[in-house]
Amino acid sequence: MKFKLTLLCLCLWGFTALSAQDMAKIKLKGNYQNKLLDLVMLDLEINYRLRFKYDRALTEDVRITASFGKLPLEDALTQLFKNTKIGFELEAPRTIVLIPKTEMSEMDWSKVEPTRRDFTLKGIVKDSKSGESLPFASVMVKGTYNGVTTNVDGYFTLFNVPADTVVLVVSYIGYQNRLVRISPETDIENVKVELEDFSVALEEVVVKATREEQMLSASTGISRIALAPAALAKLPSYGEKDIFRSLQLLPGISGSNESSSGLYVRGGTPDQNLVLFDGFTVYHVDHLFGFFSAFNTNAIKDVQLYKGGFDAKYGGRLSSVVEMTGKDGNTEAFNMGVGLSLLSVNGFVEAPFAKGKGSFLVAGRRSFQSDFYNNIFEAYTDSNEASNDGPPQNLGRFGQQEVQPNTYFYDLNAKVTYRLNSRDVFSLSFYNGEDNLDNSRNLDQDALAGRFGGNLNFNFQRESTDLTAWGNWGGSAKWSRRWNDRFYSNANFSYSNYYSERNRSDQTFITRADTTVERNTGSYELNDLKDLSFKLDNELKINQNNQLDFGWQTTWNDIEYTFTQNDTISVLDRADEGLTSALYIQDRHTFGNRLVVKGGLRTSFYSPTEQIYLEPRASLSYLLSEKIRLKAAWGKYYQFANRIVREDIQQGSRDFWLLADDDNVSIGSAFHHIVGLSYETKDWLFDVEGYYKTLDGLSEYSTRFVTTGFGPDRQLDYEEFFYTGTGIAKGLEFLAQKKVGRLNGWIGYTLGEVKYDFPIFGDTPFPANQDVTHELKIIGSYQLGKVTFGATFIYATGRPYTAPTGYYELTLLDGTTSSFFEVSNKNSLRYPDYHRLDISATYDFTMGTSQASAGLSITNLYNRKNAWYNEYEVIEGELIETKVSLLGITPSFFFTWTLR
Amino acid sequence: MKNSNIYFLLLFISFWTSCEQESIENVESESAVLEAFIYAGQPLDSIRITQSFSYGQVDTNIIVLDDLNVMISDDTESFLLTPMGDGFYQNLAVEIQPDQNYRLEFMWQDETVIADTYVPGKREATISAETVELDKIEEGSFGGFGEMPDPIEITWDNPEGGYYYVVVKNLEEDPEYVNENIAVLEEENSGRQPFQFISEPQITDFYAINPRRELIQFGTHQIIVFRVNAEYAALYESSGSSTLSLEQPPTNVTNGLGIFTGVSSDTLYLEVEEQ
Repeated sequence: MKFKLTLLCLCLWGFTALSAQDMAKIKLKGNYQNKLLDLVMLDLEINYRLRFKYDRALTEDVRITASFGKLPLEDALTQLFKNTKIGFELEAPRTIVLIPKTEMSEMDWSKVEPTRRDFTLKGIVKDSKSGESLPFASVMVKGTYNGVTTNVDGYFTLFNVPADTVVLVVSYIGYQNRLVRISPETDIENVKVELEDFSVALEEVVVKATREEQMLSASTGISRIALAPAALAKLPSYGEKDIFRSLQLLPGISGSNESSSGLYVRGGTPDQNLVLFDGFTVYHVDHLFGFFSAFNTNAIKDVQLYKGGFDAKYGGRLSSVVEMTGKDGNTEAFNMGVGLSLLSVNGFVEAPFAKGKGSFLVAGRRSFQSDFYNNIFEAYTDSNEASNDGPPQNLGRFGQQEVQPNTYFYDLNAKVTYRLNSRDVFSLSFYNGEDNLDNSRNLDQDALAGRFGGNLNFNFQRESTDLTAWGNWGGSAKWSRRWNDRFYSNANFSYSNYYSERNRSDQTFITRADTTVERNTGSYELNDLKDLSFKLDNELKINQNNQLDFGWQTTWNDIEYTFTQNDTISVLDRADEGLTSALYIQDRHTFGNRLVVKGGLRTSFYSPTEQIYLEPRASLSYLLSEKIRLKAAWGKYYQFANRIVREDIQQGSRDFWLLADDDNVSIGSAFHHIVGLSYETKDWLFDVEGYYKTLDGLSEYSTRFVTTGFGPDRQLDYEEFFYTGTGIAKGLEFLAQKKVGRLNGWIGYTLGEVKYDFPIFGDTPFPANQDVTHELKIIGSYQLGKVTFGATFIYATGRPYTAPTGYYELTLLDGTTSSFFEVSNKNSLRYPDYHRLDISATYDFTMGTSQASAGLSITNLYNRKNAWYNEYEVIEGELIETKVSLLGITPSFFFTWTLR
Repeated sequence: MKNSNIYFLLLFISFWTSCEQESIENVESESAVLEAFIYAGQPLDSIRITQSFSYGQVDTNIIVLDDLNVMISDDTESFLLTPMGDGFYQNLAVEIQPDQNYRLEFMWQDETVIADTYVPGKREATISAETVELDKIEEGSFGGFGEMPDPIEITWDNPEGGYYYVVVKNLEEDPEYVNENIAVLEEENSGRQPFQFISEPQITDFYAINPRRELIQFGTHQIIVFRVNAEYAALYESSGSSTLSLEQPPTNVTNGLGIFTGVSSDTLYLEVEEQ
């Protein structure tokens, strides 16, 4: 008996037999007050058909005091034996082996005789509650360097498993690690590993797994970070879990830019960041002028961020990649949830169909005009007006009326997944989100004329439109297939549309007798971007040490930008179409278990220039010791669709997308050079990376030197306002992360510099708008029972800006005097340093069988007046500077409820 | 971990205490500013040259630049301008010709300040009605019971897509208000003043006035349709007043600031009478 027990004993953490996966579905409840363990076991054996195996001496006179309600078996047993010297192991079917905790680390594996050696293990990693497959989860043979990550569908193939008595270490961000023992009975063709997310409240875990409550994992590769969307609720927020705002808390990503949800990664701009959602590209990530990102965390299960040096699989951007995978929907049971914050309501519904082969999820979110929403809205619309204050303003037409703006945002996600068999998975994903601001008014003279007996043959109507709307439509159809153990393909057909409309115009309708004349004055602006893409990504595992990735990606872009004044006079009218076709190949080779080298090449053909662009990529990772890893990456990157930041035309959105033509708008390119070192222990990760990026073909837009031509041909020529420059971004990032324990989190520090060199702005390089020298972030969460406290602190040196060094006045033809500013060298000044402390408390509780949580956040706790921008005006001959601050102390709360 | 905690605490404190506010650099601003509008068919009498103000400059009196050798030239001849004091220069012997290029130049701080412009030809404008009748609305009454008059349309040809703006100005010195309620309001605020409305330069070929809403006073209204160049219209394009958007202001002056531009205009009149 003892020998048998010894055979089954676990190491320090213990582990679970694979055949026990079904046991995870068993849930126990009980209330024992100082009751003999023998009686407790009897009770459980009778009520739950369990069987206990143990040495009688171990349980003699042991009394149990424990109370739990409907906990999974392992969690319930952990509670049961918490204050005893007894450990346990699960053994199928429905059998629990009790062993002394002291013996758990004394396992003698040499006595276990394996029946299979050097075999290939295949399986899938899933969420234990919802059945969601988990992409990019790590599966390692414990004590070796032999490991693999799951593909986007959660499947893995692990070659050269030395014996069928090994232990697998399975980990996934946001979930508790699991140690899984392979046994001679294990079905090595179809292993199912179920992980539990750490929202399952456990006091202590000593048997089955380590408890890594990480919100991020930075140890998966060079410049690569994985984020756990579900864990973000523990961080302070404005009431909405926000993936992009959370990414801004990482080193190397600017966290001091509150007016944009976009990511400024290592000196790059948000448009240089490729954002993929279920395979389609998202071109604009802002809700509410950038205060929130446009993604609903209820619909997202995985986020991977590549801060640079990314693989040949990704292209079309200079800086970074964010790849998000949407939830497939619950494959186990119907589930639903709702959430409420001071800004919006959200909800989701998910359910399986076709006996769990298929599943769907629908998630939506819509804002409402609360005082909180209006405060934010007004702050941002004021800033737009401030940035658009042209010196001379015409006198308003008499009779204008004040209107209350009608504004909202919403987003909607839907996904259907069908697993035909263990080889084929089909999914359809859909996304739509929009922000809308309508400030229009309608002055109808017809009503007056009719009512008072005026000239009935005459109708005069003026409609004043003030409409701002932007949003995204996106959808993808995916088919992935495991052809065999070695070959996996993923075909994705996607459509994405980003639109931004700005209409500030007066329409005048004059009707006489039977004729109507329509006249338009004002401006109309439309940016409409369409992206139709097909991608075929393949993975070929040649052997344990060699994996080949190759694929084909084709994108058709149709980008229209129209800026019209009055009736049909186009100031700027571009309609560009372009086809980008890329082939890539990348080989990942492991040498001697310690050195991993990736070499790849991406070749892109871009139809507007009819040229081929070569993008070689390489990276390596070397394990100096079990804890120390050296890493490096290098690569060339091109970008064909550029976002032009337009800050200087009166009224309207401040940026728009254009397709590069290498004539007016340059094709951007970048070289990344990255080196790094990480030191990782069970509890801590220390990571340092240095980067150096050269940038070419950067575009800026300006109204300097506004006129072209001469004599009668002289005109304002907007086409000439695209300026091209180069840049250099360099920096050092440090990350110290405490991965486990009640108190966990990280400290990140970035030392960075971004300099641009545009000949039009002078002979010497200048700091780019996003240049921040020092940035320190401290993020922590602490769990106390069912309450989790969170805190984030951000410190950043001030961003650069351009300010007036003087002014002059001109008396214009209309007799008014206007002031104009003579400005400093580009970005030669800096705002004061930025810092902010946010705190939060989240209470998780159950309502019957359902889960709920309520949270309170206070952002900018000590009400720091962080600089947003400065305004200038000349008053009685004096240049007055007004400093405008970002949001001060802001409390908010949220409540969420899920059925399961 | 205690040591690392202390290290981070020190790092934090050092960052915190290093917060310092930067201010606008103290750069002397001494650029020449040109304010030069030349009108088709008129003598050269409206050019002024001043100097820009520096940020923080204590003396807010405008600094004028007299005693410069300012030359204006067309395609064939050059003329010297005479300083008239207070920064003004003129040469009444030069009559500005429409559809003609002009160049202005002078030396300032060892650099040649140059500006080029073109004087656009005059466009004849027409008005849909020379008289409009409106009901008088007495104080305390709502009014608006009379017949709704047709809109006044001012139109001109603009085949080349030029920039135009319109000034509507009541020529009466002590105008009578169509709506006495408005008169009372204005009296309380800025006082009774002759009505003036100025549109923004736009590429357009019409301007419409809604009499009931926009004509608030009786009397003779002067309507001037200005045809201006792109460099003038650019002054109305925002160069921003906040650091979110601040750019060098538009100018067609090389080695200087301001504007040198040609203008033509056509004047019309509209009588606003009591019904």
